[in-house]
Amino acid sequence: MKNMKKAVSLLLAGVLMGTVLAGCGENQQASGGGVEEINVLSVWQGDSVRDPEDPDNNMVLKKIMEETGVKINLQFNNVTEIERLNTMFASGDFPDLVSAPMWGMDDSATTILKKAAKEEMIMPLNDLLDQYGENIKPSLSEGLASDFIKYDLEDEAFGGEHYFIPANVTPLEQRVEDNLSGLFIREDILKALNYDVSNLKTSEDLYELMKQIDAGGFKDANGGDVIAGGLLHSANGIGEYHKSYTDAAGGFSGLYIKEDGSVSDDFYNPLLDQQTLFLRKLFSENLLDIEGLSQTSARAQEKISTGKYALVPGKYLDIYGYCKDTLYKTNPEMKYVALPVLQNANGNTNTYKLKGTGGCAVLFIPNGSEKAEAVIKVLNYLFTEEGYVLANFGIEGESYQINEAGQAEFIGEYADMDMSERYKHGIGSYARLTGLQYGKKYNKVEAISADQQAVQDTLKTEYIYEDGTRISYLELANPKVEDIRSIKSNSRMTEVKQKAYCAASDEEALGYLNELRQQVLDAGIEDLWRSVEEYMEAHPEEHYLY
Amino acid sequence: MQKAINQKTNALSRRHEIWKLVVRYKWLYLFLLPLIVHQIVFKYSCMYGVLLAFKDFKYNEGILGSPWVGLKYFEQFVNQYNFWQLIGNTLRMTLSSLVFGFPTPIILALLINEVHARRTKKLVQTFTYLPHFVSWVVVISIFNNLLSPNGGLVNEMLGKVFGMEPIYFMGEKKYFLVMYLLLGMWKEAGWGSILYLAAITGIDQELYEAAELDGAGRLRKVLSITIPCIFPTIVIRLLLNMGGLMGVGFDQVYLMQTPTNLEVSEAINTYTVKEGIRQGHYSFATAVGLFQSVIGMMLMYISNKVSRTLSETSLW
Repeated sequence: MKNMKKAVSLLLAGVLMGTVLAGCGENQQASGGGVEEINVLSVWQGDSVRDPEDPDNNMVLKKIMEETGVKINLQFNNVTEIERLNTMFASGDFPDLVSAPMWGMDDSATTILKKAAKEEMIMPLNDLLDQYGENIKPSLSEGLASDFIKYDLEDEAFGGEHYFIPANVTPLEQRVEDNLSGLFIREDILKALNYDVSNLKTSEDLYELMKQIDAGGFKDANGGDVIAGGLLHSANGIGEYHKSYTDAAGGFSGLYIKEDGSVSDDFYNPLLDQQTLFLRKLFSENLLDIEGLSQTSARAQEKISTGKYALVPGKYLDIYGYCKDTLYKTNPEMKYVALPVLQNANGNTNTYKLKGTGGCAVLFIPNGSEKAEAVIKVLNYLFTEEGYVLANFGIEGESYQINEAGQAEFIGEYADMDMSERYKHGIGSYARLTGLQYGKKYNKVEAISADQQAVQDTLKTEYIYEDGTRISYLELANPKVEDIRSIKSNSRMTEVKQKAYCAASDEEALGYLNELRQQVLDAGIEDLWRSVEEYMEAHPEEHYLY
Repeated sequence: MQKAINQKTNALSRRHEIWKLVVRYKWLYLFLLPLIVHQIVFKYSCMYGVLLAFKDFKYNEGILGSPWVGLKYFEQFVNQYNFWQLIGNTLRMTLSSLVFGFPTPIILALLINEVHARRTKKLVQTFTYLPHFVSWVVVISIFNNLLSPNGGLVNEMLGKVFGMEPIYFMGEKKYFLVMYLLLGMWKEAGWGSILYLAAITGIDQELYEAAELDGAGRLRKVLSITIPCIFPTIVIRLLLNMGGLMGVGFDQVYLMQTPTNLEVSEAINTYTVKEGIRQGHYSFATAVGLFQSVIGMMLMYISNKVSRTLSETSLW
């Protein structure tokens, strides 16, 4: 009996040790039947919604394997993109291909990726593109802002090599501006106040409207008091309130050119003081939801879908999505309608945009990958128009058909599915690996509702497209920029601004801003500005954006 | 010469004795082996990573290959604009926890011990330590809703009963420390009391009987018997807490932070994660972590020495 017990104990211990050790060691992927397998990591946080139900055998993957002989194993990420990139490079644990954001200029992801490329952690691709990537080459420049290409994708330090492949870029001729983002108000409140929206031109007009809302004693769907101004998660949407204190003459750059021709930073712009004091006024008079500075998106959606907010910033379709099965069913009179676009500090409502995109998703191959050829081959296929349609719509005749207008129309059970259901079949799961986007050509535009048309008409704005060099790029070459950025990081500026919004007085609010301004001046930011001025004087032929 | 031979003989026989013991208790040592391997692999072998604090980390060169920069990141941390604010906030939170949070499980254990009805005692114990198992994410979400200035239950009651204006308990900086302490005590007091209850259970009942005969009441018994008997446990716990004086509970503080209370809620841990790890400044984050650990170790050493001198109770 004693020996039996000992034997059973040893057996159990052995099984335990075996399971512990089973997790060790590398995954050996068997390339069966001439199919090569590549691991693709999507660094985008939350992208796991794209995970197909059958990652080994869905319709899209089968077609990719048929065309290229390469099987794609998708991996996803649940932490922030910056964290994931940092841990990947620090640990040396690399997949065969990575999809990551690269928003350009001083964006954190861009800084990490360029640093990794300079430290030879990322594979140079010129030779591979020449041999196998004919279809990928147009994506290296099309639809992109010229300064993004010059200073980020083709940084001087790269010595002429391409390390990053821009992905999911919409060429200019395919761009569709939807005019669906703005500030929305509950229609019943607008009617009860008998407010003429043609009077709403500036942020101060908006303030007067908010005071009227606050004094009106309006209730939400649950009978609770309404908050005049709402926000999305983590203060998103706050810009819709202070538009009149924004110098949107360019708005392209963190630096701007003063009237005397000298360069300065937006953080030192007097408009920022006015903007801050305006928002402080809104928060101190309880006209803007203070919880909105730090609330989660779930909390924001809850407030929107119960009509708690009289005013909501955001996208029409998102707001409609939150409310269509809740507020709009129980209280249809509480529908959100668009308010006119507020004038900026220059007195106009134009929207300035870059001609090309100033940042995009990129794909790169970590150095040392043994499957670089297979990666380029599969991308070469997915970067074609055929590849785009496959990744986004599936198989013709099975999931979609081309209608008379040349658009891809979902058919059968796929017609009734929403995006999350289509992901399960692989439709959209591989979309991050496609190049130029042909949405305008292939996306079937559903007839829009009268409400949506009304929103588009209200939020209509003139788009002014510019191309040139954003002057913030010119400070990047200065060696002092790292030290200054560590003091004046985006997160620190946001923190200081939000502290100022909640200050007890205007003096205290401006005190917070001025304290940081002085610290940055002491660190030598004026040297950066002078170096930008010198560059601009030496290169008058370039067109500068700010 | 004879002395040297004797010493060598003694050493050999000691080794022989030790080996005999190892062979006799081989199964016990086998049980210990996974733990020892675990400690070596996950604790000791990783210690070389502390070098990162003295290096300018480069991805392609790794920890050992990266260039040496000495105390650069320590200087950077000590000289930065918010160093004293971080130290002040951290100390404020940990000292408050020590003063208010540390006695709470002791008091709770003493109170539970005085409950004689077994079922009630077990019920109270279960309910008090259940919050320990709830994640901070859930706790903070619940309290954010309960204490919300917009329709939260507490503010609604305060408004209806006392006619008060809503208070942003979880947001305003003047309430942050109070909420930090209250939530911490609510969540951990029950779990912390288990150790003290176990210590109280080990007290010789004859002491209580003798005290009863001497006419001691309940309070006198607690003051003269229970507390002195569990005093070593209290001291050991206090010494262990002293080591963590420079660190606050990351989860709780991070989740309670809002832009409105950041001035008082930004602690060393949360700052390190946000500015260090998240931004990939690993060298900086390691330097700050090492700074915290060294200070903590010094505090623990000093406290241990003082405790040994004053009360003969110490960790080592």
